[in-house]
Amino acid sequence: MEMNPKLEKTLQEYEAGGMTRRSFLKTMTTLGVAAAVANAVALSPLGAVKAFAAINGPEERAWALAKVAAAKATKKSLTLLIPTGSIGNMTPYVDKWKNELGITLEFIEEPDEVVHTKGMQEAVAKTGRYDVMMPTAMSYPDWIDSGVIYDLTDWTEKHDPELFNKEYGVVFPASHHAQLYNGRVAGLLCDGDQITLLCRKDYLENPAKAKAFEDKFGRKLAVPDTWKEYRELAEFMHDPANGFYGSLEYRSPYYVKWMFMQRLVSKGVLYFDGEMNPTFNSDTGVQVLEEMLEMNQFLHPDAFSFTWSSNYNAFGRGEGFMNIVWPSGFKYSMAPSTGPATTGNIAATVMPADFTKDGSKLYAGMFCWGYGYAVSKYSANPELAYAYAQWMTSPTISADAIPYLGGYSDPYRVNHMLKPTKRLVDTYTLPYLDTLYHNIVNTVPDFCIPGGFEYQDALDKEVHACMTGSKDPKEALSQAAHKFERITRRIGKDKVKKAWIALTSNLAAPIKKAAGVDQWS
Amino acid sequence: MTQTAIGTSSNRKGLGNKAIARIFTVPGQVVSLLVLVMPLLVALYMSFTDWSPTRGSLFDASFVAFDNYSELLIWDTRFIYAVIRTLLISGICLCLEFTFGLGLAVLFMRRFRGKSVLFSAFLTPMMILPVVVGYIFWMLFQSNGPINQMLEFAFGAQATLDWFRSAGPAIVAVIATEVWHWTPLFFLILLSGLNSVPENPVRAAVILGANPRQVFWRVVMPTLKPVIIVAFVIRAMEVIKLFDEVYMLTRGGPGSSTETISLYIYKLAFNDFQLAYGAAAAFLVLVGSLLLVHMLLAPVRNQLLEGDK
Repeated sequence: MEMNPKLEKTLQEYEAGGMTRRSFLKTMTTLGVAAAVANAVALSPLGAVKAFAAINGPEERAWALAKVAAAKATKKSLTLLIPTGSIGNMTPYVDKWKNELGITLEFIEEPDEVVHTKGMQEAVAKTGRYDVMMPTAMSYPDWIDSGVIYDLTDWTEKHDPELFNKEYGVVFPASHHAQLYNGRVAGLLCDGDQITLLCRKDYLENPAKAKAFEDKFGRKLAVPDTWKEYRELAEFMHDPANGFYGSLEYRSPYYVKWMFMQRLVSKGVLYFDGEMNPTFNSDTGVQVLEEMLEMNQFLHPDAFSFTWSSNYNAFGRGEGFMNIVWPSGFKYSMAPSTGPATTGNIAATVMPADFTKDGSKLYAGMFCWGYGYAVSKYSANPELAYAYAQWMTSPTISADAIPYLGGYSDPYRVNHMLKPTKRLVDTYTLPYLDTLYHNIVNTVPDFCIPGGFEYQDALDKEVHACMTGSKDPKEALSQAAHKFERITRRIGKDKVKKAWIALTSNLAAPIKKAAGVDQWS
Repeated sequence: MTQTAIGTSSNRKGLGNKAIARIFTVPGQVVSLLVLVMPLLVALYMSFTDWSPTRGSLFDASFVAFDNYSELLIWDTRFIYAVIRTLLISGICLCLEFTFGLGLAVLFMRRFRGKSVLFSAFLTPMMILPVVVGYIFWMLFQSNGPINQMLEFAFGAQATLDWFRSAGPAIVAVIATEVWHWTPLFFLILLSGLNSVPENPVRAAVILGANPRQVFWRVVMPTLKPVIIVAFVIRAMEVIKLFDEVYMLTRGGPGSSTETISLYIYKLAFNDFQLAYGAAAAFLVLVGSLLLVHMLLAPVRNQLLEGDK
């Protein structure tokens, strides 16, 4: 890409130290460079020329494509199907699209759990109502198979959104398991939905508590490193008489499966073996449920009805010591308006480790949910829709969009975590962004395979029945396994197996080794 | 042009009045066929396939004969439990709604102050959208909601319940909501029935020395029997389709312990997109409902259809 000579001169001057940051940003703005790009370049440790070349590419290419597609478009609008609660990350750019491209962005909000359904309904109805659709990674297999969205591989090869760039790409393995289906690009990730563990820093730094804890457990009071330590901390901090609880871990329908899946993968067990036989109905799975049941006594009483927002609010009000949250939970807890008791009082850590059967310690996280942009097959302007997706997820625009509090989009590119802009740092703090990076590299995805929602629903029902005492752990897991076998048989074992093998081939090496993935055919 | 003139001109061309009438009804019949029968036939065909949107169009799907039906009736315990649960909830709801509705109807046969205002008030629940009723009761049954606060006031903190955390209380919440919502319908139908009971047999019974209880059970109730059965049939058809309130209150949980048949079919069709399997389940419910209605109407069928004789 050829650079404007004035721009190049400015970059070189700034790089050589001949210009203050303020005048650099001012000059860049005069030269028509987006504020987000200018800011990212100014803060980049790479040097201005290199940083500009690296990070401005996807945004610029997407904008060039958008200009061409917008000029050709007969329908001067893009309709986006988005989950409720995410709009705040998109509205800041509506005017730019309207004023500079003449394209109106229309948002159709649907509750989280309805977006997949809406997409599948569109596969049947073929209305062309949506141009861009924002599903979770779990929707891609069914949506691609039903023909409702484009396979984006050709577009990404042509316009290069730099999905796999080591400095600005989506962090591996989320780059693969939250964007690809059978090795082909199905959507562009816009939301780094991993879960991490938050603790109350003010309680950890309380001298009286620190001494009492050290006297009791013989170690320093700190964020937990293992699930055993997590449980001990929950018990130690649990103070229901004062409305303060050990942890706010979920036990509610729809969320509880992730708590089970997280603990299961921490022990080095995935959901299926290489032949699609369920593996969670093992002694390890029963042990996980028993540990969760045992943990119930130290949980917030609303754990059985929490949604993500009520959970964030309870933690922000100061009703618990620990919480397992998506990064947006940290964002909420950091903001004085939504986290009055937790602002400045959070210590975060990667998900606790557990021990595999051979006794080795394993760190594994969950990449659960994870929204992305997909392009509808029935869109009147699919290229424009794709351009929007690439532009919004480019390293620069995404770094600008994520910190807005009115949406729950979370960091997912390497530059968001390792070369963050000032706004990202102000919103998430450097230590938490570093935690996110170290957690995401060990994440295991949802059921991003055909019939993913069915598998998840079946598991959720049984785990929830166990948590509420309707079924014992063994019975619950046996029934879930039976349902899994029926789902696999109905969808077709070969089809699911192919997707499962592709999905698990990108896990972190220690997790693959613990689960025996390397041995699968 | 008069009717005679039409008949005359038609006869000249060889078409009678009946033939002309048939011709005029053909468009209506075709539309009815397209709107009513065709979707039913497509759904019936679908139920014999393994179609889901992930397998292309319906006509690309494999024909699996009765596989979906046998799977549902033999292996799908979630379906079987949903049917049993729906029948159980229906039975309890109908009995409670009938009892309360009859009690209110008898009460409103008497004269008392404020009767007309109360009459409107008692009918109000029926006019509220089911989804709104579901949401209102969801709030009422929250662990810190008004119902628990009243229980705490009356019986102490140990009487409060986490209503949606275990199966029993969740089903009680569903039944309470449904009964509150639809008792007015029973009340309205039974009140109309009571008002139409002829006075002469009642007077005759009184003259012959029957006490009020005997008059009610031996004269009024037999006369009211067709009305009661029709009320039961109308409500049974509705309560078997119970969806909105359960969806709002429990989403079928905890686990699947409050999942009704409608909710299960909804999940099959619109969550899991097993449309063919869902269609088979819907047909089984349709057949079951027809049989149930047929049985419920048996005692009064001849009486209701006597106009045909």
